[in-house]
Amino acid sequence: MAQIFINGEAHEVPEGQMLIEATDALGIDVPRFCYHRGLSVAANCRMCLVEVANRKTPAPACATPVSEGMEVQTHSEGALEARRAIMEFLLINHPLDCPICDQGGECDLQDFALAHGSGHSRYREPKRAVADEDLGPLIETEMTRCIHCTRCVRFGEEVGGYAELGATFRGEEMEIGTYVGRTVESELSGNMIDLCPVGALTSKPYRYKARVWEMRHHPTICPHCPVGCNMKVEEVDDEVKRVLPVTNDAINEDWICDKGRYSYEAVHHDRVAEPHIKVGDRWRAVSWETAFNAALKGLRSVGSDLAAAVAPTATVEEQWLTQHLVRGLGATDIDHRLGLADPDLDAGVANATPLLGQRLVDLEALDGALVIGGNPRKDQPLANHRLRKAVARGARVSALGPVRYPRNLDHFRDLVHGPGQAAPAVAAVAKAVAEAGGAGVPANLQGADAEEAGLDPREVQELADSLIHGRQTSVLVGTLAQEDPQAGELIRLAHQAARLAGAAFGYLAAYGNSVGAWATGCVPHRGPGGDPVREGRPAAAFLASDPRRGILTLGCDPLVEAADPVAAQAAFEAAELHVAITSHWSATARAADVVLPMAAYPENEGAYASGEGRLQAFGPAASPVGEARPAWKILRVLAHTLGVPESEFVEVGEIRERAEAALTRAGIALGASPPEPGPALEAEPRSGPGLLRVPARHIYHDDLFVRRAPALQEQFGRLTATISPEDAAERGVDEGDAVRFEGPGGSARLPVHLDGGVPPGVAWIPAGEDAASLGPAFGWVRLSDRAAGRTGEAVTADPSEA
Amino acid sequence: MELPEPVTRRIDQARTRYPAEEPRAAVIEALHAAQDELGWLDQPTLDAVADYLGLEPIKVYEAATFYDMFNREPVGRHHVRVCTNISCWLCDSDAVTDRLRERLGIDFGETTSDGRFTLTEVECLGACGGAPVIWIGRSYYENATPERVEEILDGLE
Repeated sequence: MAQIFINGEAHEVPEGQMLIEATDALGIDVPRFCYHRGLSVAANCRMCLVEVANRKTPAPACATPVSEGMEVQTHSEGALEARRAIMEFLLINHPLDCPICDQGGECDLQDFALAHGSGHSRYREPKRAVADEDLGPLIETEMTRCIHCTRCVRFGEEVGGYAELGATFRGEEMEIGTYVGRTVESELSGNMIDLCPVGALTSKPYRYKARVWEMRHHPTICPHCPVGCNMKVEEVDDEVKRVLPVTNDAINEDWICDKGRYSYEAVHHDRVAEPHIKVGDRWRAVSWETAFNAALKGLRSVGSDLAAAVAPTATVEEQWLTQHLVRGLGATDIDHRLGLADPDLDAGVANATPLLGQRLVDLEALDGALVIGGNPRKDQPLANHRLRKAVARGARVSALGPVRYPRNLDHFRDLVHGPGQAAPAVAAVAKAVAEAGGAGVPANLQGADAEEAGLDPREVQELADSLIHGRQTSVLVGTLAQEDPQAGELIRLAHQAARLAGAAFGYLAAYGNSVGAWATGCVPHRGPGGDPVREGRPAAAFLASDPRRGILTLGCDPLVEAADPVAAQAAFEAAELHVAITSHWSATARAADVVLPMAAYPENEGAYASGEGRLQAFGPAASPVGEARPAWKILRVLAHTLGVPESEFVEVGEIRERAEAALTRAGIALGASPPEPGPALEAEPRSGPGLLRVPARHIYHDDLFVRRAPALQEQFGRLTATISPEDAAERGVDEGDAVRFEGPGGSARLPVHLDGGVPPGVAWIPAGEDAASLGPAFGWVRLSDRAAGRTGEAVTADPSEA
Repeated sequence: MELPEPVTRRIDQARTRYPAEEPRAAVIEALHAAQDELGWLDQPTLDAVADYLGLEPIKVYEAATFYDMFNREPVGRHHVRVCTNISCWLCDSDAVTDRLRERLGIDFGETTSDGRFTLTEVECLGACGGAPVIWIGRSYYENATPERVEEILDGLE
């Protein structure tokens, strides 16, 4: 610690800190444009100039380390004069367009001009103007307003992991942009808008939608991924206008990803505004009473011959109440793992509650990590950011999966196994870890062979060494591996590798509230808190070959999200009754008999359990559209009217108490380790004709809400099939060609992207509406013909084609 | 596009002088290599340099636009650059530039219609002892006069 004097007062501050960090911690106001605590120090705006005793010139607080006995004046006449001069320079070229600028009211330049600027300008010459670039549907530019603080540039490089914006030209001609007018594609791009201290970068979907001083702020929790970012929804007159991050150093720091930021637009799109029932082939909007009566009649008629598919992005209250209803009716089939392709997971790994196994902040302290079958950059962008920080510190982070994803951090080893060889590949890693550890190779790993799994044995050995020799290491099971047809074997082997290496074990959970869904009993073999229940069958069964007479869907769209959407279609057709509780119209809603409109997340109240094991509650930011109601109220009425005992809930808090108790019984706590997997069943190696499909999730396609967000869909809405250049050359396919792929369930026409990160024999086709007609997500696909130029043709889903 | 072999050879050489993990250190040398071979730097060339060095393209765009001596427009076979900074100006660079403009029929920043000459006004070339200075290709022409201008241009194809 060093003693320094700020404005005459003595303070103890950590040695080596920059002065601005000390003043920020002490709550002493020093204005700044370029400095941001999450970015490197550029010291180019000079707005934070302060006077330091025995220095002739003012010093930038952001780039002046504190030292013992330092005397600083932050608000002396000299300091203020320096800032006045800086403001005069900055305002020379800045337009006076505050009244039409979206940044107005929350603009640092505007605020500091008021505090430090002059009332008039001495500058009589023409101002410079800068041509705007189109950076895509998310970021609006007005580059004449730019003051060259370079925060956005540093963000791209340091946090986004890939520099897209830069400072081209120099001096007065310096411009911030891509230089070539490219769309900014980072999944974290929206943070540049928050960072921009002026109105140069603003949100395109929010443009001219509201003035900041009119808006009310409602704290909320992002529903999309298990990081559980803290956010706020801003609203005027009950209309959601935008979403911004709320700083939480333990979770999302100052950032959120574009999915969390822009998905709110879905609140206004394709909503189910009234209850509907299907009469013959036609939809009829009806009153709640009529709709309830139809649902109740149907539910009474199917009785316990009922299955329920619950969204993993539903709240713990909705999840708890759904299983309460379903099990109260004597039914047993309930699941939230719609995409799970391993029907035997529960028989092997009895409890795969996908906890991270550590805190998010622990990730950045790792010295070694292995992510198996996952793409954290797109699946959990802000968990990935922690891994990036670890790498910046020198950590050796490796990946093992069916494809090599476009990366934004330097992997120590980025291994791609042979098609369908996920489990043998993990076994080979576990074996290498055992050998390096010197304690002997366990019997089940004796036969493992890196080369047979398509890996280079030397690289596997190096990877194993990095896990053993780190002080703190982790083995993380990614989102794709959790849904793999061999998920049980993968999870058990990954756990074994972690144990042999002395590493922590955890999951990068697949969806927002997966942990909550497991703990509240939205799995067929475990009740709330892991209580024993009469065992039912997983979604892989009841959404496929073995449907029930009745089906209830809550907030999900199995016709897109199921492990086999084509089989799910057949299951729906076979069912007598399908009640869909949904916020949006979807393929699933259209296939239902009764549609009950529920509140979307900004209108909802409840809580999500994050991958860390944190339960975070939030309240509504706006009223539900039309006649929509929070799903917990809909479920309560159904449960109560059908005579399910203990269903008289008046407030969501009463249900939360039950859900929270379940979470506690299930051992969900901050940083808790996931349960040990039981012995998995031996997995069969897979082989088949054509290319093995890898359905690695697409960040903007993996839940119903984000699929209805216009700006995100405008930018990234088209699903592409990524194949290897080798396979493309063999089949005469070029980049961008629209190609008909044939899967076991049917065909889909998709534009092709070539990437050397995909090995021959594999087609990376994410799950999504465009790909649902192929059938099994982990199935085999063939390229049927070359169809250049016919990109506009509609994708048809015809199960009979198989 | 692929960079021609002489360019990649020079880049490889340049890289040996810098730490292996800092490919960005070789950007300027790489751009000079590309420009010497190709005459000017179009966007595909900049992208190819970025690709070869393993950098994001914007890093290369930044360097190429910051430095005036990188040509981002096509130039003539002979790129005539005249210094008009204070030493040269005091030694009557005006007469030299006037003669150049008159003889070539173009102004600063322009290229003759036959594609032979491009005329550029530049800042100090660091040869004030021989002011005024003209720089063409790999040669400096010091103590330039309008008469020398005629001789120099006559000597070029």
